[in-house]
Amino acid sequence: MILDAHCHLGCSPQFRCPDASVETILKVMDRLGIERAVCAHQAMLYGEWELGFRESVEAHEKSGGRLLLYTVFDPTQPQSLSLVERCLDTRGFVGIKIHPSIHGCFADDDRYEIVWQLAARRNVPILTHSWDISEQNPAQKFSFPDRFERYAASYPDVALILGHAGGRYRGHIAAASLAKRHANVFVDLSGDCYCLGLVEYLVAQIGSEKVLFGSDLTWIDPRTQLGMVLDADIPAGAKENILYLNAKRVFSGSL
Amino acid sequence: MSGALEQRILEYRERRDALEFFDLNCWLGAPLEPAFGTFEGLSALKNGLRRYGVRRAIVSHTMGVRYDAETGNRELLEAIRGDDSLFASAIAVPEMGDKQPWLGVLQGWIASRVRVVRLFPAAHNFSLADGRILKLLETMQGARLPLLVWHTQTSWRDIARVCSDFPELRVIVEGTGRKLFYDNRTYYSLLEQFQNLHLETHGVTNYLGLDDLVGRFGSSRFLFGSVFPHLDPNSAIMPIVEGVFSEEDKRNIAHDNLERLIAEVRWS
Repeated sequence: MILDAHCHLGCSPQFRCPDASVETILKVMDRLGIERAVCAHQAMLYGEWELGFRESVEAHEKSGGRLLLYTVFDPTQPQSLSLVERCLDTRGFVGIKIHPSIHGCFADDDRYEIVWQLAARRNVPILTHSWDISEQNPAQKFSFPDRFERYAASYPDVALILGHAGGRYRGHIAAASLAKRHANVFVDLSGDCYCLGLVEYLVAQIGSEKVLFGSDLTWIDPRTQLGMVLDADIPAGAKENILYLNAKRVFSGSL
Repeated sequence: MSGALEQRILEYRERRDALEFFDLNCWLGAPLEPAFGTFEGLSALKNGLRRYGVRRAIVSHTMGVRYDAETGNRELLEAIRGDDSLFASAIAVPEMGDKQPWLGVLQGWIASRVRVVRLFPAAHNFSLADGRILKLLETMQGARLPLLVWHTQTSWRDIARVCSDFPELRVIVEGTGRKLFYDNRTYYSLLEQFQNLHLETHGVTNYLGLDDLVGRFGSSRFLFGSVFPHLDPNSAIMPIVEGVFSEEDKRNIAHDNLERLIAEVRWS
């Protein structure tokens, strides 16, 4: 059994997506042995909130509960918190996704405080995009792992998953360092982050209990990370932690 | 570990090893980007490849990108000399054609196991429209020697022009940095337009990306590459091993297509 802690529904505007249908997602999950996945709809990330909400609920129902849901908080939109609350009152939503790079707001900005308060109150994890500072993509500076320290430290009961484990080399090191300092900080392996030795490095630095399998489907193909985990030079029990035990723990029985 | 997971790992490794991967994109030299894994020297590199089920490889040298193409080529050809499992990818710059005709340069390289030529127009500050480069491409076309170029080192417009002007030249595109698949709206059109355009697959990691390409265009123009030892080969291997296409397509991408391309290289 595999639990995928970082998936999407819908398409990215940036490139051609061959098939983002729920039916195909479920077939892919069946083929790879992924029992459940937690998904943030890309329409919600890109400001088409109502469409994303409607399709998220449909996907959850159509999948018989195998596709669980993140709601998305946008700190630049004043009404965002009430929309997030509406989601958390809806069956299937088990976490909150934030994306400082898409929303152009540093992760330690004051405007994020309300969503951390809500996550603490509702006892749900926060999944965030995290990445290395990049010349090619300057918006990644909003999501450098160090930026999450302020709220991770202030809300020790809220589980924070650093999606993509910091994205690239310096980001990976910063993500591991943050996860080492804070018991509530985890990393996931999603995205096109394929450095040789990455899985081994993270397990050595922070322990396999803090690394979650994530794919970034429908953006990235889950086979790319699954091959890395299956073949990693880490103990067998560590692979079990990464592939499903940790997600079970972080989502407190929702998965 | 649960028996099911243990079995899954075993089956994946067996299926991977059975495909006898031939890697188009393997590197000697210090990494161009900071990396966790390094394999110093040729024997460490070969042991590393074997560990990931890769039987043969075309090797490039980072020194030829970062410092000097000619020095990097010399280091590379010296390193792989006498090794039957490895071939070389030489890096060309325009002035190499000044010292002797390109035909002589290419014949020397081919005799030293070069089977692919790389160009880095952005890093080495030249244009694919440079007259000496056009001569090189014409000579490569005659020798059936494939061109390998990063999408981040030139423009797709220039790649299309090369495909059009040299229809018998095998043009292979890959690239580091921004993943290749972000340009898929462009390369779908170009794959329809140019039968000599090929893609190395390590950057085709978008969801269902490789399955869709093979479904639309067949498997004959897609070639496995890993960027080992800087990237984990499994990230490029599992989408092939567990691809939603035929076993023949898997063999084509894993090794047959590359074998066919290098078998076509003319010696004289």
